[in-house]
Amino acid sequence: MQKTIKTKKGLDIRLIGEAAQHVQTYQTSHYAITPDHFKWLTPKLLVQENEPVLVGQPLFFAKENNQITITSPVSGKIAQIIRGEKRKIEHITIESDQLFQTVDTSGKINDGNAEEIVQTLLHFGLWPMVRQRPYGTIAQPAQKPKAIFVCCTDTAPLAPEISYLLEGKMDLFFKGLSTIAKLTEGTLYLTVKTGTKLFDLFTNDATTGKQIAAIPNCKWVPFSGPHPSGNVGTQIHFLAPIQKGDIVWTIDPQNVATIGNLFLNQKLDFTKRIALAGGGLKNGSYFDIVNGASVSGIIKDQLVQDDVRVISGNVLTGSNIGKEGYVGFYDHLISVIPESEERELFGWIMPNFNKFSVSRTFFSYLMPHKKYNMDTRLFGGKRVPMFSDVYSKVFPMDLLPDQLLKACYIKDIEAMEALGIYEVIEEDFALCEFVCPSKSDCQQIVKDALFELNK
Amino acid sequence: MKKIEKISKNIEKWFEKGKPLHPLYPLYDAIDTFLLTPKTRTKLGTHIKDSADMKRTMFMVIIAMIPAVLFGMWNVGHQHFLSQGSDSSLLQEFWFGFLKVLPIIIVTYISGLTVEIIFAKIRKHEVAEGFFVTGLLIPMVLPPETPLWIVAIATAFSVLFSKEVFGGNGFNFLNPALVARAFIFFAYPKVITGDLVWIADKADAYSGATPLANFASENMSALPSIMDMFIGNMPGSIGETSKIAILLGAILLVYTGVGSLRIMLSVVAGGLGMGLIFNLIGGSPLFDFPAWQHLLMGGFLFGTVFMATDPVSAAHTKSGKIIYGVFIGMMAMLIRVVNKGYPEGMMLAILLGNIFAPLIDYCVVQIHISRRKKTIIKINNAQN
Repeated sequence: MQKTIKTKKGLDIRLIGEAAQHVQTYQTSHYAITPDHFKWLTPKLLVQENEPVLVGQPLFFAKENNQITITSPVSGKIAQIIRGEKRKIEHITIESDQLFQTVDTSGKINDGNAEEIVQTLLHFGLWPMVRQRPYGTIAQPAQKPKAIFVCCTDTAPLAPEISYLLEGKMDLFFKGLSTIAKLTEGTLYLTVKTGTKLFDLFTNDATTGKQIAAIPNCKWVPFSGPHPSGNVGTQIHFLAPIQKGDIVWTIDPQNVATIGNLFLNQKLDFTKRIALAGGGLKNGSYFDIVNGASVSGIIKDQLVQDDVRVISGNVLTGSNIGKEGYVGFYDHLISVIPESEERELFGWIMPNFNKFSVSRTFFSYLMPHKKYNMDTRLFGGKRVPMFSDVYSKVFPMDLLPDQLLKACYIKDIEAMEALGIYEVIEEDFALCEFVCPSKSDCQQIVKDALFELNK
Repeated sequence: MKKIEKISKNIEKWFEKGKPLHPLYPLYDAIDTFLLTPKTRTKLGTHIKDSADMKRTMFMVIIAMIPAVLFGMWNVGHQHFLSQGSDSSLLQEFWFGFLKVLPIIIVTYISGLTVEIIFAKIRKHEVAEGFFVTGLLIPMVLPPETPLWIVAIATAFSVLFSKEVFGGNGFNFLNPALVARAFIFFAYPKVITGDLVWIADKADAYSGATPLANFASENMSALPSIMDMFIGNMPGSIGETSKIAILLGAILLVYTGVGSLRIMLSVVAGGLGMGLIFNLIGGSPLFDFPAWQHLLMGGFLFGTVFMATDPVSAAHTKSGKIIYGVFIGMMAMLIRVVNKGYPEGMMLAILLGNIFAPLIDYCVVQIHISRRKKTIIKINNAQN
């Protein structure tokens, strides 16, 4: 174990509607894969409507690198290929036969060396689970990362406890860890949040300690501090800062277990546990689902009002999927919050004790433990950003967020590089965007700049 | 509240595209969002937002200025009746000052907002709140006897040439309120200097010299008492005389985080430091004048609290703010003590600080970049 890394800057947004720790298995026949969940990937279809598919059968490959395929999480048949503007593929919906028949795995699962592991992951469609920094895209199989990060720390609003997501899967998790550890000649960082069950397990449990020690290049590092101390970007910043040319890979803990399951039991199983939480729900709880499941059945009968926003992911970085949407490939949280268009008289001057703000122009700082039911209002008009110290208060990295954002805005690549653009992706600016009194789209600005940089 | 929403919706129809009032849509929008918070929902990025917006933040500055405004109004009346030598009640004095100051405020707002609305229309923006602050700052730094037509021209000039030509709110590199004052100072020098303008409708025999004017002419015996300078019953620009009122505003600004304490303290430290240096050199009444008493004279404190802290034209980096503040404080003292022709150095010092702020930031950013490079090497060495 390494010394705990403590961050001070940041913000824990306290929302009502946390998920209670009881879990249900949820089965549905509606699944979908959304190409947009894979950043900057242009899908090239391999299936047609009504075609039968098996678990692990490729649905499409990436135009950018045809080795990378996205496979079906369930068996059944392709129900529909939904296209949007300019025939862009929005969803590939699959009707499950609930049998979960997998493609033939015999002889194709090898973990002898890095090359074989990569080939296995690519073959079964588990490779997209490995993402890279900079950019946050699917990792390039041919590259050699200087480190791999597995972060068991989610500090976002309403985030589930990772130990509960991994319940009963610890053996798979460690098998997965030891497998992916072979993919780098550098270090495999395993990070946990102090004070969580997982932290207890890692510090006090002898068998777990041995399991970690058995992976020679694995270091586990405790993190503490407000959000975004749990963001992988923040952790990379403190442990393996990325400069031009560096590559770091990141894999979510549940996906590590899925990879472990493939190599330990030769089983291709896209089941994962998600939390359903938020102020738009009567009761938040956990569900075991298969990736890509439709959420409509889960949230039905749970909504407190009709007009809600269903978000795959957290309220800061997730995507609005609507009530009929599907669980995102990388998400382990479905947030449901009320929509609102309520207007308030003289909102700019009223004391408003029920509104959350980091700014002391409201009184919420007097009640640091109060939880808020926040809705989707913007609370103001868009302005040119003026105040220079609001971002840095919630930005724990040793970078200059205002200057970096400005460089991103004008797409000045030289300045961006000097200010550390490779260390961040859009989600690292989510809190800046949240607190910004000018209501700037910080995440979009960073995203566009990264796109420009990657060209 | 629902009623207001309904009325607003009905009125909105007159301003829609194709309707004759459409060119005034920014005005409608400004009034509508002034009354009711906008109903916009989040679309891109974060789904929830902090409740604070620019309106609330900017109006905190206006609230912070209210003590200075009210005191300024009373003081204008008080000085008037004092010069006349006639007895007057508190209310009489305030009422006289109110009638003197209110037209200046109204003229500033009308002149500035006209330019703002025209540009909001051209740029298809909403009217930004920044001007509501500027529009109150300008009257505060003017002598009560400034002719209204000059106020109007100066405001329009400042909004147009210090803000809109550079892209509007948030892009100005100079403080617009000070540009307006500097404009008057350079274009109509007789209006803002001399002993005639500082007291409204002054009796001829009465000396209307401000403490700074007395200071510059080395007439130290004519200076008001320390207590008077602190409370503010002395001639001067409308809002700058009362240090108590300004400090009340400063407390609110610092407490709400709207004004930068870092800048305020740095300016004061710079001013005191420079004053002490002069004290050490000594040799003339100006050089020997106690450094701390400078803080009570003229617009030093008002400039420190309300002008130097303008988030747009000040330095943006943390250490940059300190350098910027100290620079302003020192320059203000330097101009005051060394340049007798123009004892009020604060305006020019802040404008000069504004001009240097980007350079200061540039240096701070470059230092940060090279320091970060070294940190990365350190982390990499520690991890391997």
